Amino acid sequence: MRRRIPFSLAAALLMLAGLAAVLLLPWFCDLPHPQEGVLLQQEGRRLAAPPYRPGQLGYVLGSDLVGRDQLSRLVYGARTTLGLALAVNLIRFAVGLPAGLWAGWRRGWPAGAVQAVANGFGSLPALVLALVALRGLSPLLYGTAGWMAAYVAMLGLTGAPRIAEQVRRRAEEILLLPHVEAAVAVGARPGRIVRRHVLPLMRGDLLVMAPSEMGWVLMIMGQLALFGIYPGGEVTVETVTGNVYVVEYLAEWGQMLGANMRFLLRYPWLAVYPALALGLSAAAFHLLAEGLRERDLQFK
Amino acid sequence: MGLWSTVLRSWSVRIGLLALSAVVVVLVAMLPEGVVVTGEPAPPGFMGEVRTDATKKFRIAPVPEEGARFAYSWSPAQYRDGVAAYLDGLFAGDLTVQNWYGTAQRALPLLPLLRDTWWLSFQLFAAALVTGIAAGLLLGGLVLGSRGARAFSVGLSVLGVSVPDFLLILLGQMLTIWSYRTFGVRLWSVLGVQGGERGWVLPLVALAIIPMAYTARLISTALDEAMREDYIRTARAKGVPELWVVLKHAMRNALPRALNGMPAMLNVTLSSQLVVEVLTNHYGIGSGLMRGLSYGQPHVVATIGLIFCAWFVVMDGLAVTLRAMANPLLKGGGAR
Repeated sequence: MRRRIPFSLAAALLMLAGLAAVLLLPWFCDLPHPQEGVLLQQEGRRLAAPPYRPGQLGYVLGSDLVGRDQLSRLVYGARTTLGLALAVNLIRFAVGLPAGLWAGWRRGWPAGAVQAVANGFGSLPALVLALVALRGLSPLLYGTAGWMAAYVAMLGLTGAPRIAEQVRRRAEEILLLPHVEAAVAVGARPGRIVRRHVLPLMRGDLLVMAPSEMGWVLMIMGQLALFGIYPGGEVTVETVTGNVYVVEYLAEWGQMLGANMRFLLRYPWLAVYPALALGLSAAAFHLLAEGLRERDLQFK
Repeated sequence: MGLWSTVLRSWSVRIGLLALSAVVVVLVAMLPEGVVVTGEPAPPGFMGEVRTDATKKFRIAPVPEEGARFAYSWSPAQYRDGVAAYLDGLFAGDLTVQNWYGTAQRALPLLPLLRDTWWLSFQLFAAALVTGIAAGLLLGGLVLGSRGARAFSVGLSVLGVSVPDFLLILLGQMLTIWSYRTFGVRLWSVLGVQGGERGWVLPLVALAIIPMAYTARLISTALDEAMREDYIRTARAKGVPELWVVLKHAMRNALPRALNGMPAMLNVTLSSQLVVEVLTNHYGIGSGLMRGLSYGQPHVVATIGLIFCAWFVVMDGLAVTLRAMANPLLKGGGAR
């Protein structure tokens, strides 16, 4: 029987191929440095000040307030944004997967505890919890290396209980299967049972959960940025004549979106392109999860 | 276990979770109360500066840690006093707020203000939920139609979950601005409730997409499974009209399964409400939360956080109650 690739999977793979091309672009193209700017440039007979429009003075996607190339910042920002999202995802699974497996194996009070924590966290909108916690910590850590660690850790920990609960439910279903009961009856150790019998059957679910979580993490990073919570700080650029510009430092999509929202009507390219990048990446991962889920259903 | 004992048990679990969430929210939101300035404060997030001649290219280099010096520390005693003062004010009902919408520096009673802004948020939320669920039921039902209808249903529901809310709103605002500048036609207002009835269009559409997509996916999956059951074949064999088979037999058994997904949908919709209100200038509690965070008012943040917790728990409890009433054979509700 011919295997049909679901449309959502095909679309997702296409979008992710584009994302991979963006990640590899700096090795194939000579892009301006993402932190290199200029405050005045000759344009014909006059001096032009940033932000430069898309197409003006050779800036493909325009520039930011201090003349840094927007295309370059988006391309280099892909590494930072996707790297942070991946780190958040790894924390979620590193905490949630073992906790869920342990709760599913032990049942009783561990299962109840995981369920209670997951429901407790689930009763708060995810954005509210992350926002309030990070704002509370911001005076103490903002702008230092510790802030980025706190940002990643907070986003990771707020999603781990939900993953633990999903893993627990699935583990409890798998542990009731006859071949698992047989393994328990012959005296196999819990670690071996989980490794040889539970995890292989859970592989399909985990393959769907991982890209789906990646999509949610990218969305919440964009939402947090709209509330002024993003990794990295700000830097002041001062000219010798005394003009001062305060701009975001890190080339990261969420930061570029959040820091430039107030210029949406005057200089829309400053916020719209990072929003598109975040949105399309999140959509690609969600489509990948949906496509893998449909493909998994095809094989069942 | 009877229906009402199941429902009561579910509600008591949720009230317990509400208490737990409330404690977490208050403790976390009041963290800034413990912040103490120990020296000359630098602006939060300040990483250093670059001085340059305006016509020369410059490069912003990574700043060493010494350049990002902060003069803050955290005092547990001050934090404890702040939390105690907040709880006293909350139970006495005499919390005040400054810098509320258009009120400059005058201190106003917080709880009546939040009641009014919550009502504005609730109107938007309720309208979006009803609109989204109704559209989702129709969209989910399309999965029983032709292949094209099925593809349309699945495609739209996947897109609704995949595309971020802030992107939808940004594109919607850009579209109406372009339409106004090019054709003189304003599709909807970007001014929120200040823009009259058309100020409700964009927030309503942006917020309704999530419940629509969730409902459509849940209903389509549940209908797919329900239509394969033996009782459907029996009903068809007895000559029951197809529409009646779907509405009376399939949908009736699919709805409880769809209600299972309500908590996740409510969580995502409430999170999106914050973003929608801030981006569309809708003066609800989402915008109030933003102002509380921006002006450094932890008591406002904590109170709004409590409102969100209670709001979610009530909606979740109603969903569990509906599910139990739709299928009394289901025991235990959403949590054991």
